[in-house]
Amino acid sequence: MLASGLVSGLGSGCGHDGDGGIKPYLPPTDLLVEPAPGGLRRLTGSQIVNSVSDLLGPAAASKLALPDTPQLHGFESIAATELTTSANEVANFEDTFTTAIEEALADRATLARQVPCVLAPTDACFDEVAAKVGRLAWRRPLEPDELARIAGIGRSGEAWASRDLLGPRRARAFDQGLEFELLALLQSPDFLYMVEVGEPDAKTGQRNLTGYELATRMSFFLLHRAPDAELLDAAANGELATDDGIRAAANRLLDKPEAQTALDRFYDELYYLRDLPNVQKDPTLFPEYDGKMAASMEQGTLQFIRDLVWTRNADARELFTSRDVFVDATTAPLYGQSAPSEPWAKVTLGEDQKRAGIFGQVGFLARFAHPGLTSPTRRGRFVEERLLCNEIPPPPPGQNTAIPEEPPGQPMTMKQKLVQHETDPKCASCHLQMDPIGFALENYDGIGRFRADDRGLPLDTTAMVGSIGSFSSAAELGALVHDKPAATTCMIKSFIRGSMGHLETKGEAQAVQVLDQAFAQSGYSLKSLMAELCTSPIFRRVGDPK
Amino acid sequence: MKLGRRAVLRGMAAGGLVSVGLPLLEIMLSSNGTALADGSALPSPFISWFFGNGVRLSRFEPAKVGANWDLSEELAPLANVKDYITVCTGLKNRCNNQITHHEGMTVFNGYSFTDWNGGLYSKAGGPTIDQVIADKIADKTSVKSIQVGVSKRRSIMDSGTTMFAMSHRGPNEPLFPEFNPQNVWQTLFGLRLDAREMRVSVLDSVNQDLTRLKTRLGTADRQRLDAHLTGVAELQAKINSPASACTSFDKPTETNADIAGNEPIVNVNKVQSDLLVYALSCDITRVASLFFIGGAAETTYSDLGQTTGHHYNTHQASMQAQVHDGVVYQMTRLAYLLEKMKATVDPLGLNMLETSLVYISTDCSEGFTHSIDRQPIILAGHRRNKLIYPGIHYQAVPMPDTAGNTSDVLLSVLQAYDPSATSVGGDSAGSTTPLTAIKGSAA
Repeated sequence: MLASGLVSGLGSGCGHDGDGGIKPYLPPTDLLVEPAPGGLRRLTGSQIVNSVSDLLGPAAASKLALPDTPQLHGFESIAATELTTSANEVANFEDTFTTAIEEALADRATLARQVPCVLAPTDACFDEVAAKVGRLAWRRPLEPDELARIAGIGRSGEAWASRDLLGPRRARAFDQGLEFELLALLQSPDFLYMVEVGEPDAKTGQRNLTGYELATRMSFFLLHRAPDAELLDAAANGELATDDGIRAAANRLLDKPEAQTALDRFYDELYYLRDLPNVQKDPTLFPEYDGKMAASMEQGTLQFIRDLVWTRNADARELFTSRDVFVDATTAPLYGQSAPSEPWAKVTLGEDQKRAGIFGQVGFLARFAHPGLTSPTRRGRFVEERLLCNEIPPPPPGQNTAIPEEPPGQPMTMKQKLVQHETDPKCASCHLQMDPIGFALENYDGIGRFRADDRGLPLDTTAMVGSIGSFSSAAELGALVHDKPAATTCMIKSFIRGSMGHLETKGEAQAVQVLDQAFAQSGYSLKSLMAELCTSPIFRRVGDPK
Repeated sequence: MKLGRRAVLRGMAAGGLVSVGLPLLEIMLSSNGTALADGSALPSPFISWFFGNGVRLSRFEPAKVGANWDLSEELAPLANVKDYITVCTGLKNRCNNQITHHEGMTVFNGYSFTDWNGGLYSKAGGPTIDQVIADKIADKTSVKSIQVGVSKRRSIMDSGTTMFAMSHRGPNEPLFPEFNPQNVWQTLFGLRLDAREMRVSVLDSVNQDLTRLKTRLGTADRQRLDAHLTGVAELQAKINSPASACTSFDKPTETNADIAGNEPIVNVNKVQSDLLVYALSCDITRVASLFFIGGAAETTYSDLGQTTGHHYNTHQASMQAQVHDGVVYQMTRLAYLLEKMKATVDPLGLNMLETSLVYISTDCSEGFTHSIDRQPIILAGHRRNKLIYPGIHYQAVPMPDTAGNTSDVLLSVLQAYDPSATSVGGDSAGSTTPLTAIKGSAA
C-alpha cells in the first residue's frame, strides 16, 4: 500500500488533501443531509463533574473521584459514543456519588435553590425533588411512573432509616431518604448518557432531535454541562424549533463564563496541550523544563485562544498567523522576553523569531518533540491530522524506524538525518507530507526556544509539501495554512468530532460546506461558527439509533 | 451512611486470621480443608502482566533450549523463581494488521483488529485471555477482575484503546488500568458495607431505567447497556455478598504522584503487586492484569539514571544498551510480584506460583523494528501442574527465523483453566492447537 506511493507522488493513504476545489453554495433547504446515527453518548468525567456541581454544588462535585475518560481519535466525546461502562465503573459511580451526595446534604445551599423544601422537610418534598432535580439531572421531565418510582425510593429510604434509628429523628431519616433518591437519579442511565434518538419527521423522512435532546446536545457542546432550567424551558416552549430560536439560545449560552472554560477544554484536547504535564524532557539539555513550565506552556496557548475568541472575536485563521503570545515568568524566557510584572502578559513578538500562531507556541513545539531533540515528523503529523484533518497511515511493517545516527565526528542536523525518509520509497509517501512541515519549524528547539542553528550547524528550513506549497519558516507556513480552505473546514470537522462524538461522515459533507460559507461570511468568527453549528441539520437531526 | 461498621468488622475479623502471610482464611475452607466452604474448588488465580516496547532479543532469549536452560541476561532477575518460569521464544504473532506496537497486543487475545482506520489507531479485536478466564472462574468473587497499572507515561502518538489497556471484554469494552493504588484498594477492599437493602433497591431502579432505555436503541447501544446492566447486577451481588474477612490491608499511602518530575515506579509496583497478591489470596478476585508500562510508552527509568523515555530509546541505535537496562529493570519489577507469590502459602502448604499462572508479554519483539516475529512470552507458575514444572525454554525455531503461533501458548493457558476449550481468539491470529511442549502433568 505504501511502497506504491512514490510513483503517484503520494500513497493511497497519504497526500489526501481536504481541499475540494470550488464549492457550490447550497441553501440549507436543498441540502442532501444524511445525519450520523443517533443513540447514546456517555457523559465524560468532566461533564459529570460540571453537571453535579450545578445540581448539588461545587463542594459536592469536588468529592467526585472518577477515572480518566478515555479518548478515541483523540476525543473523549468519541470514546463516549462507542465504549461501554465497565462493572468497576458502575461500582465506582455508586461509591463516589454517595460521597458527593453526603457532602451536598451537609451544605444544601445549591440544592435548596432548586428545591427549597430540602431545608424544611415534608413528605411532599420527595415528589418535588423527583420532579425538579429529576428534570435537571435527566434533562427532560420525568414520566409519571418514573416520578412515582424515584419519589418512592426517597420515602422507602426514610422509612428504612426510621427503622434503624432509635428515636423519632425525622430530619435524619428524611436526609437518608433524600440521599437514596438522589443516588437513584445520578446512577440512572438517564443522567449518565445523552439519549439522542429524536422523533421521525414525515417531511424529511429523518429523525429530528426533540427540544430536550437538542437543548442537551447544545449545552454539553457549548458549556460542557447539562442544560440549565431556562434552556429546558425554552425547549419545552418550542423555542428551539427554529434557526433563530436556536441561535438566540446558543448566544445566551456563549455569553456565560462556562462557555470559555468549555472551549478551553476543547482546544486543550484538540491541540494535545493537556498531555504536556506528562511530556518529559531530557533534564541535562533542558534543566529549566519541569511540571510548572509544562503547565504554563499549556495555559499560555489557552490564553492566546481565549483572547482571540472571547476578547477580540477575531478571525479564527489568526490561530495560524498571529504573533501574539501570552507569557508568564516561566515561559517568557522561551520567547526571549523578560518576565512580566503581571502573572500573565500578552506580547506581540517581532518578526525576527518568525513565529506564527500555533506554529510558534512553545506548548505545541514542546509537545511534538522528542525528550532531547525536535521532531519534524511529529510536528508535521500534528499539522496534517489536527489542523488539516488528513489521516497519516502508520509506518510500514518491519521497517527500522530508528533515527539515523551521526557518523563519528560528522554532526548532522535533524533534517539531514531525516532525509533518508525522503529517499526510501517505503517511507517517503507519508513522510514527504509530514517532515517538511517540521523542517520549517527547526528554528525552535525541543522546548520551543528560538535557535539560529542546531548545535552550531546551519539550519536549512526550506521546505515544500505538495498540498501546502513552499515555505521556510513558521510565519510562511502559517500564511499558507491561513489561505487553505481545508484548514477552516478542519475547524468545523473538529467541532463535529468534539461536540457530536463522531468522525464527520460523507452524509454531513454538504452541511459542512454550508457551515464553511457561513463561517467565511462571519469573518471566521469561532463564536459565530459554534452557534451556526447548533442550527445545522447535522446537529439537529440524527439517523436511526445505532 | 457512616455507621462505622467497617471498623467493627475489621475488629471481628482480626480473630479469624490464620496468621499474617496466610490470607486464605480457615473460615473460607471446608471442614477437611481441601475445598472452599461451599464445596467448590480452591481458587487458582490468573494474572496477565504487560510491559511495552519489547526486549533485546539477543540478550533476552536463553542460549539453551528445553529443560536444561539457563536464564539469559535479561531474565536474570527471575533467578529466585526460575523453577516456575517457562520462556517461549521464536513464535510468530499472527495478527493480520500492522500498525506498530498495537498488533503486539494480539498476544493477549489471539484476535486481529476489527476496528482500525489506517492511522496509529486500533481497538481490540476480541476479549483478552484474562477476561475469557474470568468468565470461567470468577463468578463467585466480589470483584470479577481487577486491572492495575504502574507507569502513567503513555504513548503520546497513539490512539484507540489497545495501547492503553491490556484487558478487554470486546472491541468496545476496554478495561483501563488503575494507576493509583488508593483507588485499587477502594475497588478491592473499600466496599461500603452499610444500607445494603436500600442500595440494592436503588440499583433495581437503575436496572429499570436501563431496561426501558434499551428498547429505544439500536444493536450497538443495546450491547453497551447490556454491559452496564451486567455491572449493576455484579454490584448488587457485591453489596449482598458476606463481608470479607480480609481486612488487614490498610489503605495505601502511595498515590502514584510524581516526585520531582519522576514516577515512583518501584514503590507503585510494590504496592500494586502487594494489593493483587493479597486480594487473590483472599479470593476477593481471581483475575488480575498488571500494565507495567504501556505500549510505545515514554516511561523514563530515572532510577537507572536515564533521562529519556524507554520507547524513544528503542528507536535510537546508540541507546540500545539503555533499552537493555530498561528490560532488566522491568524483569526486576516482575520478579517482585513473582517472589511475593512464591512467599504466599495457602493453608494446604501450596504457594501461589503452584496454584496460579502468570502470563507475561510485550507489544513487539524488538522496539526498533516493531516486529512481531519471535515475540517472547514468559509463563510463571504452573496452576496446579496444568503447565510444565519445572519450567523450560521452548524455542519454536532458532534465530533469526520465526515459526508457529503465539496463540498456541494462549490456548494452552486457557486450557489450564478450561479443559474443554478447543480454540482461542479468532481469524488467522487465533489458535486451535495448544503448545503440547508446555503441558503439565495434571493437564
